[in-house]
Formats: sequence, structure tokens, C-alpha cells
Amino acid sequence: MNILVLVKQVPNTTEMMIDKENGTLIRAGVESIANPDDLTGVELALELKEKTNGHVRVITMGPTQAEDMLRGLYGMGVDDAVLLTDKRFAGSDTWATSNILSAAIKRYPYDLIIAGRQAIDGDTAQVGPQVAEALGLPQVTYVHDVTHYETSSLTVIKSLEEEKLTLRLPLPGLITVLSEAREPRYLNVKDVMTAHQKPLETLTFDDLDLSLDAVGLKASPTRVKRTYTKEIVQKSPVQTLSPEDAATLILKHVVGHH
Amino acid sequence: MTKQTHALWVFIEQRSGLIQPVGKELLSEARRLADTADRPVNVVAVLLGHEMHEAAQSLEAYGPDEILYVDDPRLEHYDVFPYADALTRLIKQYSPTIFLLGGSVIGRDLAPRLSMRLDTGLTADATHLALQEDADTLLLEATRPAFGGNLYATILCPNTLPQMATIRPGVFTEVHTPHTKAQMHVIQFEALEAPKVVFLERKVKQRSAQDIAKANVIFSIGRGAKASLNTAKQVADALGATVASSRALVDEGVMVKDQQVGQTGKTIRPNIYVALGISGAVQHTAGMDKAELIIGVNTDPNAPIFGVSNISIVADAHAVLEAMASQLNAIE
Ligand SMILES: Cc1cc2nc3c(=O)[nH]c(=O)nc-3n(C[C@H](O)[C@H](O)[C@H](O)COP(=O)(O)OP(=O)(O)OC[C@H]3O[C@@H](n4cnc5c(N)ncnc54)[C@H](O)[C@@H]3O)c2cc1C
Ligand SMILES: Nc1ncnc2c1ncn2[C@@H]1O[C@H](COP(=O)(O)O)[C@@H](O)[C@H]1O
Repeated sequence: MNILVLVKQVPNTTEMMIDKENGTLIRAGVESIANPDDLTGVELALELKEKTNGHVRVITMGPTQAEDMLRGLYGMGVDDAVLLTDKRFAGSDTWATSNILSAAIKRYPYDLIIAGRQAIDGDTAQVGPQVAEALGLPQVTYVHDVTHYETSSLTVIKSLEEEKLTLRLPLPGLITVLSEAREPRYLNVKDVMTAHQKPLETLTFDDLDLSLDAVGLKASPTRVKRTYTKEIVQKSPVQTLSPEDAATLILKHVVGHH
Repeated sequence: MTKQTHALWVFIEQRSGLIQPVGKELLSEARRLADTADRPVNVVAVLLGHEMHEAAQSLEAYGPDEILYVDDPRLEHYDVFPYADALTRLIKQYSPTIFLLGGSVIGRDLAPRLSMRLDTGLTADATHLALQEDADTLLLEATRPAFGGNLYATILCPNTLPQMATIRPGVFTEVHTPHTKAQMHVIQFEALEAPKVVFLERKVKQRSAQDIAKANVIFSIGRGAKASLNTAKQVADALGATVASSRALVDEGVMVKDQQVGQTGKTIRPNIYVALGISGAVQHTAGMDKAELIIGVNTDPNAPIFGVSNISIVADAHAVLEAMASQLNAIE
């Protein structure tokens, strides 16, 4: 089975800070990580590879720093890594990103594409289904488990708000996975040793069958009109209390209220 | 319906023939938005289903000008292929200006696929909507908390139609508009695309905890109170309250996604929300600032949670939870 995994490099959002003066993000010094849902996608792909004697290729679009992340994924055991990087890609919204990713995907053989459910920096959860649409593939989003595979289909469990559905996805197809599905494996020593020698395939706009009005900030249909911060005005006087007094105050309101 | 009038469409989600609350919430908000505009804006409820004529008619109560109901056996249960196909055909035929969809699991499966098929922009998880009127354009301003901290972004889709946005369940409230009449269109299409994914089995999820959206009293735990999660559960149990959390604890795997409050978790309106060790990032407060009484407990007197708290307590959340536990023990 040929499996492609879409992995996004994201800033560790729990550490994001805002510049109070101008309301912009302070990016300097913020650690970059592979998006958590995507690592689960890599894990699922590696499991399927082991079972089917398959091949796993990861694809990422981003700045050249994403190389380090890709080397880390080699350390987990992926076979090939592709970096899509070009100034002309900068500022792409999810529509443009999906155009770029799907143009790249078309260059490789695949039975299954795995994306994360959502990237923690934007939480849009749009790129998976958009790539599926661009490639005309069937999709199952919010995959909680993969239970069975055959050459022509994959059986998965999809998690909805109040129910779980068992579904059979015909291949080729695309799934988006939840990080609850699997704990990603640790790097293994042997793969880490060879990770830095492995070739990284780097592709730019010119390598892809794409037109300029499908990529980048200008082509993106969505525009940020403005960003702003809301001044925090304390809504009630702040009282410093002993734990006992605080507990009594809270219980006074809560007791008998259900 | 003429093409000249601006139309604001709302996708009405149904499951097993039952209209889901999020559709009514969005319809109510669409009515409110349309009424703020100087020019006529037609609010249109769009329902896809099978043998749901009565349910379609009942949407009148939420104030649409028109109801588009597509009846087809392939639309009885949600599948992205027939749904995206039916909506694409409707949109090509009527050219709506704006299209709002619920940010449920179904909406988030459908909306991106549709936006790609139509080559138009989609804003995810908007928490505030407004209209911007220019000479001959009507733009949707979809605002969402952006990236970390206290930052909001207002997003437009100025050059392509329809301008699409998803909104999470619970963000807006249902408003009944009495005595309204909506024009009903029942539509049938030839040969909608067939589903490709095969349905095998359905299981109702085991409730890992009480539904936080239905609870009256919530004790919500953030990173600053994580080590006292068990105490919080005991205290909540004793009081008949429910435990929820910030995304930080879900990311760390100690709470499940169902219990996450916020923009990308649940939006809730309990009577009492006690935030323990939660900083109060906008993504969090987007999901709880409509609670009736908010009590914030934080060691930092400048924590943003105090911007939405009716009672603001500077104290150590661990010690407060311990004290509540022992005061409750003393009562028993
Ligand atoms: C796209 C996106 C979507 C997001 N969606 C959500 C969402 O839906 N819900 C959500 O919650 N978050 C969401 N977040 C994350 C959000 O921005 C915050 O990072 C998160 O809410 C922080 O969680 P926290 O307040 O528990 O932790 P922290 O920010 O680490 O805050 C901990 C707080 O505890 C206080 N504290 C420390 N020790 C104590 C003590 N002993 N007693 C009392 N107080 C103490 C600290 O002063 C601090 O205020 C999202 C982020 C992004 C980028
Ligand atoms: N720049 C990117 N490079 C590779 N994969 C991406 C990129 N952006 C999004 N994805 C994939 O799409 C998923 C959903 O992303 P998002 O729509 O941004 O929430 C992610 O979990 C990734 O699998």
C-alpha cells in the first residue's frame, strides 16, 4: 500500500505571545513542532506499511525550516519526505494550500492519503476535505480508528458528536485522523542515525502543474480585513482571599443550584 | 427568487430526519443580520433530506424569507457526495451571496469540500458575524479569535461567491420570529451523485461524563489546577456539578475533547461557571462568556479570565479545591 501523509509544521501554540504594543504575534523563539494530529497520521501510516509491506511518503508545505521536522519523521521510519517551498506559496489560505498539496500529490503513486483532522495553529480542519475534493477522492473525516484494510478498501471508525460510525472507504481515498486514534511512536535509533543522510525532495512552484492564480496570498479567496485585540477590563473587583474564604464564597453560590 | 437580490443562505443540518439546533441558531442569526442591512437581503433556509416536508415547513418559525427543501432518498442520511452535489446545483442556479453552515462534524466534512468545488473562500469557526455594505457588494465580515492570546481576526471573502463560513453549535441562540410566512420551494434533482463510502455500523458513544452543554453548574479546570483534577471531580460529584476544561488539558490527554470549552470545543451557557487555573484566552472565553455567573480563580491578578468574571478571586486553585472538599465533608 502506498500511503501519503500530509504533515504541517506548526508553532507550539501554547507558547504563543502577543506583542501588546501592536497586537502582532511574537514568533521569535517559539518552538516549531509537527502538528499533533499529523503525527498520529504518520503512526497509522507506519502501521499500515508494516502490515502491507507498504511505502510511506510525507509531504509538507512550508518554509525551508520544515526540513528539520522532516528529518525527525525519517527518524520515526517514513520512507520518503517531500518539502514544498516557494516564496510564491507564502500567505496561502486553505484553498490555495490545498491546490498546492494536491498538485504535488498527483506526482506520486498512492492508495491512501492521511491528513490530520486539524492543525493547532488555525484549527480550520479544512485542508483534508479540500485536498480530497481537488483529487476527486472519497473521504472520511474525524477518523478515530482504522480497524481493517484490504487492497481496495479501508474500514475505519468515524467519531461524531454522539455516535461512532463504522465505514468502509474505497481506495484510493483520504482520511483525516484525530490524535486520540494513536500515540505516535518514538524515534528509533537506527532510523535517526540514517535520517540525516536520506535525500529530501524539495519542490517549488515550477515543479508543479499549477497556475499563479491558484497559489499564495493574492490568489487566496479569503482576506484578513483586520486583526485587533480586545482590551481586558476587569468585570468585577479582584479580591484576594484565603483558600477557606474562597471555598465558602464559591459553595455559597453553587450549593442548592442544580 | 431573482438573482439581483442578495441572498443569505443557511444550511439546515438534519440527522435521522430531525433538524439539529445549530441550523435554527444560524437561521436566527441570519434573520438578525439581514434586518441590519439597508438593502433587502433574503434569508433562505436550505434543507436536504427525504420525506421531511413538515420539518421543512417548521423552519418558518425562525424567520427565513424562503425555504429551499431538496427531497431525495440519497439525501436521507448525510454523505458528502450527494450533499455537495445537491448544494452545488442549488448554488449554481440561485447564486447566493453568503452561505453559513454549522461547525458540527457534518458541517466540517461538507463545507470545505463544497468551498473547493465552488472555488470560494471559507472561514472556520466564526464567533461573530456582521455585514459590510458597499455600492453593489454585500460582504460578510466573519470574526474569529486568531492564533493564541487576545487577538481577533475579521475575515472577508471579497472576490468569490458564495462567501462561506462555519459557526460552531451554541455560538448563537435560537430566536422565534412569530407570524412569519416563508415561501416554500420543494426541489428534486435528477441523479444526484452516489455515496462512495459504505456504512457498516452505528454505535451510540458511551458517555464518558455528563454532557457539559446541558450542565447547570460547571467546574472548569485549566493548566493551573491540573494537579487537582481528581479533587475537582469529587467536589463536583458531591455538588451535582460537571467538570469541564480548557484545551490545555485536552492537549495533554488528561481530559477528553468532549469536555473542552471554547471556540474549538463546546460553547456552553451554564448558570454557574467556575474557572479554576484557567488563564482566559479568547479561544476559551468564546465558549463560556455567556454563562450567567462566572467565578474566576487564578493566582495572577491580571489574568484575562477576570475580564469576564462576575466574581474574581485571587487564590491558589489547589488550596481552594481542598478547602471546598473539606468544607463539604464537614457538612456531611
Ligand atoms: C486555533 C486555536 C483554537 C483554540 N481553541 C481553544 C478552545 O476551544 N478552548 C480552550 O480552552 N483553548 C483553546 N485554545 C488554546 C488557548 O489559546 C489557550 O492556550 C488555552 O485555553 C490555555 O489553557 P489554560 O488557561 O488552561 O492554560 P494556561 O494559559 O497555561 O493558563 C494557566 C493559568 O493558571 C493560572 N495558575 C497557575 N497556577 C495556579 C494556581 N495554583 N492556582 C490558580 N491559578 C493558577 C495561571 O496564572 C494561568 O492564568 C485554542 C488555541 C488556538 C490557537
Ligand atoms: N502546509 C501544509 N503542509 C502539509 N499538510 C498540511 C498543510 N496545511 C494543512 N495540512 C494538512 O491538513 C490538515 C488540516 O489542516 P488545517 O485545515 O489547517 O486545520 C493538517 O492536519 C495537515 O495534515
